[in-house]
Amino acid sequence: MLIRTKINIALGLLIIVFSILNIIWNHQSRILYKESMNVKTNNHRIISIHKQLLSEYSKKISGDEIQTNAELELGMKTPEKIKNIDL
Amino acid sequence: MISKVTIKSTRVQHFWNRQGFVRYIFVLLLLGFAYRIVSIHNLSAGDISLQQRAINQSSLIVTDKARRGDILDRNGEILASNLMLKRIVLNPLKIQSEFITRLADSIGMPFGELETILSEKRKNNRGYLVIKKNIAITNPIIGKVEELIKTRIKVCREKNTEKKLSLVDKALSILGIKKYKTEYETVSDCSPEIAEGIAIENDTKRYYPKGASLAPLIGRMNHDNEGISGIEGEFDKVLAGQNGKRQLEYTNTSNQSYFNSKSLSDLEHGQNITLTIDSEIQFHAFKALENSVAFHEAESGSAIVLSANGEVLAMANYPADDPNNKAVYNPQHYRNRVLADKVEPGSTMKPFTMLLALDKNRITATDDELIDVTKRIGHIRPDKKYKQMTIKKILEKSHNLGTVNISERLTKEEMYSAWSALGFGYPLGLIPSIENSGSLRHYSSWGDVDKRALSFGHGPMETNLAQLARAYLVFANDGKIPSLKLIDGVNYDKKYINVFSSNSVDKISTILDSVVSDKGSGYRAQIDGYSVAGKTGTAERVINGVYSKKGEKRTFFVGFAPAKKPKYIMAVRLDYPKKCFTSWNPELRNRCEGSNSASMTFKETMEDILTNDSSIKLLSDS
Repeated sequence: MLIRTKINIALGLLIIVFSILNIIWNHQSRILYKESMNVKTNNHRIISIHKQLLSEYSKKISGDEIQTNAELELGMKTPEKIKNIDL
Repeated sequence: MISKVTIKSTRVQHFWNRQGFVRYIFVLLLLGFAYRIVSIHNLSAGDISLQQRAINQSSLIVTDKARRGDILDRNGEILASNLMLKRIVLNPLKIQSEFITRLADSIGMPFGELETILSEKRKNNRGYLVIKKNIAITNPIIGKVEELIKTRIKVCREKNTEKKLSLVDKALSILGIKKYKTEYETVSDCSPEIAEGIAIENDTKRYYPKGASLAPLIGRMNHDNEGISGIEGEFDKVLAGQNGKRQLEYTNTSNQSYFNSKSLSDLEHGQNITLTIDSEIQFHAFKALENSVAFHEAESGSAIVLSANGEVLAMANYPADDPNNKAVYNPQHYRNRVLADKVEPGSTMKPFTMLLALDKNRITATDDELIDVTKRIGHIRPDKKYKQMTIKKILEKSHNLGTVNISERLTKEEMYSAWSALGFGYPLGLIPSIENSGSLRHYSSWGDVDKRALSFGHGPMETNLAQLARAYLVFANDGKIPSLKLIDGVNYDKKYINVFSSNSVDKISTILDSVVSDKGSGYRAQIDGYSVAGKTGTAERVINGVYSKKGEKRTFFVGFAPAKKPKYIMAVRLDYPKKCFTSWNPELRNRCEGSNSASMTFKETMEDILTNDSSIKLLSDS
């Protein structure tokens, strides 16, 4: 076989190999991209839940909420001061 | 026989010239094409070149929105936060009717209502409809809609198709035996499809969990998500961050860009800001103000609570609106009166006159030192109630003539220097855009009247409530005052300014303790079980540079607890209280003063603060 033919075959094979590799790399890149998008979405979700919980907690322990709960749900009252106790 | 054919070569006339001409034509054509290749790139198509247009079409600039930072209190509790929510968006022109029933179920809306809204939008040819907004990410609606988007439902569409011919008719038509006119019919074409025109988009909403109690301090944002007042406005750039910009080689139908985006500007999320505010103390101060303003029918009220090292623990104003309610906006209800109003502080300045005189050895403030209050000084006339008073008595009864008498022993320069050192007339730098730093006129322009008036908090000075509270920090720091601090992590001036000696401060502090007793004007600020010191104040209200003719007043109380080694310093101001009562008969009306209005607000707040602070000992324990 002529050297020229060998080189041509080798080049042809290389083209095929690189084409296949290119498809694989492109596919991997796409999968990675999708994964990164999923992670990003999950991260966004975690941050938003975290913020929501912190805000809800802050609202729950704000004096207004506690006072309303104590008065309406627990039936608590502000103590009345008795200055003199008759014995 | 082969005939001999001779080809006679004949000369073509002007052959070279013709050939040359054609060659030149070709060269010119090539040059023309070459020029066109270059020039086509710069051809204008409207405002931009074709090249630029091609770049614009093949690439997309994506903006990554920066998250706005949160505002937190000293304990890490959220005071303002950007909730990351979702909204459901519909395209009424695209959504298939088969999905509407399930969509209505998913978003919890009656079918009829949804159908009406959609048909209304279709009629107006509108392709964008936000059907639900501000949905929390944990809301089941999101899951249901996500599922609906993925579901395939049999969708039938009507379409016009050519009426089909039978095989015989077709054959006859092809052979040309019979001619048929093309006829159309409407048929229903059904196939499973996914939903079109339903999308879940990201949404944000600024949320203030503490509602109205912090509104004037935190401020609010406009519709463009820019801070417009308070901390939101002052630190907008820090909180907002910077949006990122990426250039993508992008097509609408694919995600081919992957990681090839080119960053045009980096995304920087907004920073959190931590305040020195304690939400609990803030709530107590706000509630007490709300109650006081209602009880005394005052126009407004403001209060500030400081720690001994100058940290602002609470800054409350009333009236105030809930910033979560976007439908209500009254700019007056977002006014931070603690920093923005400069006022005459009235008798709350008397302790400083005494401190200065004591420091300069003009008085001893002992029980055997008696001040004559029988002679008129300037326009201050004697009352017939007292003839001679001790310093303690002068402060207990908040006696103007007694205080003026002491001020006569001081020079204008001495008073000016002390008042300047206390920070009056100088900005605090807490929220510079809203702060009104008041004024202290230079002593060279004072008359005797000014100096006398200054001794009891009138005349050539005006101050905001925060400056007044800061001046009282001398009682917590052995005569020195620190800078006020509102934002954690900011390098405030750490230097303490020495104003009075520690001995003088101790003496006046003890006297102020007795002001908050049954004998003193601050009797209504007493808190059972705790030692409290303070001073009342009442000032005629100045409107457009003239004292109010209707007798409108501002009432003050500045106090601290415990009286020895104070941990909390609080200043209260009520504007134009109209309804005040005597202490011995809660139904008997009396004219409003610091003693029967502002001192009650102080008591209500401080009582809650002290009972919640286990580090402060009860009087019985100590």
